[in-house]
Amino acid sequence: MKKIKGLLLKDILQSKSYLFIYIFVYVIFAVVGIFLAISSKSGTEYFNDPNVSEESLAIGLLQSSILSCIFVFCLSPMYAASGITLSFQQDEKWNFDKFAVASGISRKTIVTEKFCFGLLVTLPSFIVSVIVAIVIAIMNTYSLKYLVVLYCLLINIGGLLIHSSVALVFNTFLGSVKGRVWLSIATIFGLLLEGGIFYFYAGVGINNVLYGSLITFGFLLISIGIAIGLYFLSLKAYLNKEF
Amino acid sequence: MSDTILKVENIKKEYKNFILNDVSFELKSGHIYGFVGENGSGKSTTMKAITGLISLNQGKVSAFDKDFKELTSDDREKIGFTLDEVSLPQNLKISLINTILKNAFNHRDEDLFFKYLADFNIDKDKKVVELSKGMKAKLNIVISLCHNASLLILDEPMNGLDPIARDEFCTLLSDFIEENNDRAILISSHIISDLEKICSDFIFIHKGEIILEDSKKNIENQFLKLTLDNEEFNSFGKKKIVRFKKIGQNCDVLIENNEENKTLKGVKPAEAEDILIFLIKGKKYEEN
Repeated sequence: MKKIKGLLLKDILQSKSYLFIYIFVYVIFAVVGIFLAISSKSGTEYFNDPNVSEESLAIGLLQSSILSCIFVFCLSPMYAASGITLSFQQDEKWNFDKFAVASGISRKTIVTEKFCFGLLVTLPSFIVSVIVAIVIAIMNTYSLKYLVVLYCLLINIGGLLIHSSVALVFNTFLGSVKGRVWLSIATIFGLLLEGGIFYFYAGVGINNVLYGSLITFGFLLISIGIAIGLYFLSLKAYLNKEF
Repeated sequence: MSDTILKVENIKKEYKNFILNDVSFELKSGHIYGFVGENGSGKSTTMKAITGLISLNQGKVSAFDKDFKELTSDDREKIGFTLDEVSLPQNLKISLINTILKNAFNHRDEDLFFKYLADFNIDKDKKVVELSKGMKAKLNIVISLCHNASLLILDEPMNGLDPIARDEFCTLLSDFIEENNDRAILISSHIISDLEKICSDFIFIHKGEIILEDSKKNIENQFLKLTLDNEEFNSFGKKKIVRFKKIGQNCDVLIENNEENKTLKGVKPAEAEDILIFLIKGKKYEEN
């Protein structure tokens, strides 16, 4: 545990020089998310049929806000996952990975630390999602709005787990240079998967608590399973890595 | 515990264009071993094999009387390894690096680290990237010394150092062994003159194979050298020649150190560097 703490400290201190750009990008994500939430609400209200009930209108508004914000909910975790690649890249550049392995820090410790670091760098992304979700909830009158945004955040956590563990597996298998290329390709599939889940949830889960819960917790469990599986896969790859 | 700190037994590593073949040697406490060979001879590959950076196709490495795979984290910390370049995040201040390493290693001596920094005039508030090449090399070795290592494995640590820095570096390594005789150092270089000052033993490697391994004294006592002109060479007893090199009109000859050869005119003691060059670049005399 002590060694993991030391390595985490290194990765955090190393990332400090990129902190400004990270914060800037997340502020952009938050601003775009809030803007999309507000504009989709205004648009839906403008075109709304006066004969539709208030509850149905509220559900429609929530659906359109969430669908508009898929952009933020999905792209922000993808960006967060690039933090792991950056950390691998720096270790390779400065030969710290070789030094650590040769000096007695176990390969398992290194992979576990990167996994933890991956989760840590997704925190700002999650905070952006929370802000956007709160804005969506405040603007809406649907009786289950807080449950809906909570489920959206749980789906978002699932997405973060998938993105960060996929980044881990590509970096351990292929190194940071090749890993970055393959990660970009895999990210597109990740985006489609996560976006699809949001779309599915917004379509059938918002006004049906049972379906909503099944979709949300089903995806979350699958994400946790994928993350754990990819962690062990990364460990296997790193144990066999030749420096 | 025996005085053998590290034992390398018949290790083999195959790459597409290179084979490290059947390499064996032992490092005993209280000794500094010079690991010498040309560029690409297999020095770094051997060191990587010893430190677990690469897997082996064959053979075994053991340290502190244990198989390498059975070493605990604490045992592994007793092996200090440095590459020819600083292997630390260069965008961080040295004081921050100390904080990181303090957390990452169990047996780190922080006071010793700052003492060495002061001795070498390394400013702890500087970033690694701001240090000169010589300072970086010193920092590299200081980092290895400060987690109470019993065995230092140094891969070309003196690359790019000026003569003053090399001298300081050699003193540092000698002091490391003198302070505690239970320690050993394996230091690689393709420049033997750097190592002759401090090494008690030499391991010569060529094309992935160990060609000579012995104490410096024994190696240098084994051979003599002399320079002959072509005429003298042609009339020289060919059976005496271990290796020879033709240079223009002259011929440098490596011969065995025995009573008969000692009396030859112009004979000189062969130093480790001469012997390595003869063994690698010299020719064997074949009568035909």
